[in-house]
Amino acid sequence: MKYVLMVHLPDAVPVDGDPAAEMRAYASLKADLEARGVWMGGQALHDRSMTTQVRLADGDTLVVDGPLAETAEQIIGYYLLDCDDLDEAIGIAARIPAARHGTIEIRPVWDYESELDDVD
Amino acid sequence: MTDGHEDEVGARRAIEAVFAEHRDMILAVLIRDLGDYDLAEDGLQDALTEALRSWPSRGVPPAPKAWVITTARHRAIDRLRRAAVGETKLRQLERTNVAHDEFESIVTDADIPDERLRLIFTGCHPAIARSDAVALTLRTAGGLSTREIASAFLVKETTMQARITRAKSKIATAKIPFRVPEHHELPERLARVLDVISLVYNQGYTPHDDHPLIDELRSRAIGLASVVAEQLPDEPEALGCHALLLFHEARQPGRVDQQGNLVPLEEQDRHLWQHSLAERARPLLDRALRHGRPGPFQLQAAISALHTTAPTAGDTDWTQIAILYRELLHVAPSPTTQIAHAIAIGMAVGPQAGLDALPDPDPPLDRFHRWHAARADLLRRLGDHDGAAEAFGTASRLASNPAEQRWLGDQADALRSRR
Repeated sequence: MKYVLMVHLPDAVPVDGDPAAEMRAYASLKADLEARGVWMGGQALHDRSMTTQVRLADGDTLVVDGPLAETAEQIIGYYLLDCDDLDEAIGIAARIPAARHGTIEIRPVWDYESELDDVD
Repeated sequence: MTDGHEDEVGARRAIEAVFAEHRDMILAVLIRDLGDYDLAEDGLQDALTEALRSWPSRGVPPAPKAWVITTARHRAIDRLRRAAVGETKLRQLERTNVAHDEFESIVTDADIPDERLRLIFTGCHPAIARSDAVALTLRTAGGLSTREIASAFLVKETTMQARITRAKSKIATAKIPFRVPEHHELPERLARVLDVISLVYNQGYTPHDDHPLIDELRSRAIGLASVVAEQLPDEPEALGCHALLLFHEARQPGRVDQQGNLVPLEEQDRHLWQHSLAERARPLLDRALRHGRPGPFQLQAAISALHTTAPTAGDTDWTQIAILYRELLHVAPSPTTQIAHAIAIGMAVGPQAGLDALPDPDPPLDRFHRWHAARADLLRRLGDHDGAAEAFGTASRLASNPAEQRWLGDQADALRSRR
């Protein structure tokens, strides 16, 4: 079962600890997920001030600067994981360093490919 | 002729016995094996049809429960085969489960464990909204029909059905596993399970006019608590929850008079109480406390034990109760506990001390009828009848339950007529 773990972090995060130690924590989590065969991908994202919005309006491409909604938190990265079940995904989410200050949103991936296979 | 008729009667009885008494357990086994609530229920329905057709003519099979499980499983797999969309599911089943020929040969009735614990933990997974978890758990592990649950919770059947469907769909889509959590996850997950069970019990504890199902809710809640406590004997909170519900239940017959009015604890006829239930609860609480890991359910059970075992209201050990409430405030602070703590202090020390211990009526506490009721009672004991009448009146207006409204209003009227 594939899950996307979206990492939300409030803008006002207290600066505690050592940034280098935090990076090591992310790296060792990733290494562990790869070793377990769970890791399918994931990236950290630039700040939302770097966001560009695109929409189609009457065939015209509408490009707007800035994030979709003004909220007190933003998505700073994501994981794509292949887990046995939700409990495994929850266990991994709890190990993401940002979970201490932010929220990890777990969404099951819609496996439309295997549903299409069934119809064939 | 008569033989054939007797066979038929015997088969009917056997079918009723298996499908009525063991339905929950059989369904739990099927849900675990098939990983799908609806498929399990459909398969079980097919097995019932099959039993009604074949048992009267061919006789009751030697292991009826195992027969039902095996047949239901076959029919469920047939259903998947017929449905094109079932292909992936079928492949998963074939990968993860024993082939069903093998399954048929190894299952006997004696092999089937009580699977309800697994169902309870799955239904009460924290990823499922609490009201949905209550609905699903009562339906699958508590064995109530959707109509009965809806009626007990005073909502429309379609609303309750929607909650159950949403919960099942979350389990299937997000792949919530059908298992009892591992040791390190257990405390948190168990707390959720006990929370859901006590919510069911409380729904059955508040008297409703003309509401026969509330007794059923309490007995289902006690049944669920006993499954959890028996299967997890090393979890003191599970034991504490089972003990708490039994202590409460022991006092149930004295709480409401024949007119459906509430009777306060100190005026209840203690001969009406079911002391045998308290005797069952006591060793559970003792076993829980021996673990040396107190928690909210054990503390509440200990408080309830002191109330239930006092020979008269005057014998109640209010000092001990006040101490236990203070402990409870430490581990599980809540406005209700703050109020109960103040009432206990009022009884142990005196009404003024009780008033001093009442929390300030900051919102939303100012709208909470129990705060006003507690204050009213303390004022009455201080001799401030006008203040007490006014507070009882406020409490009555804020209470949502008709029996409570009536009782509180009566107190206000009685005080006013004394003037």
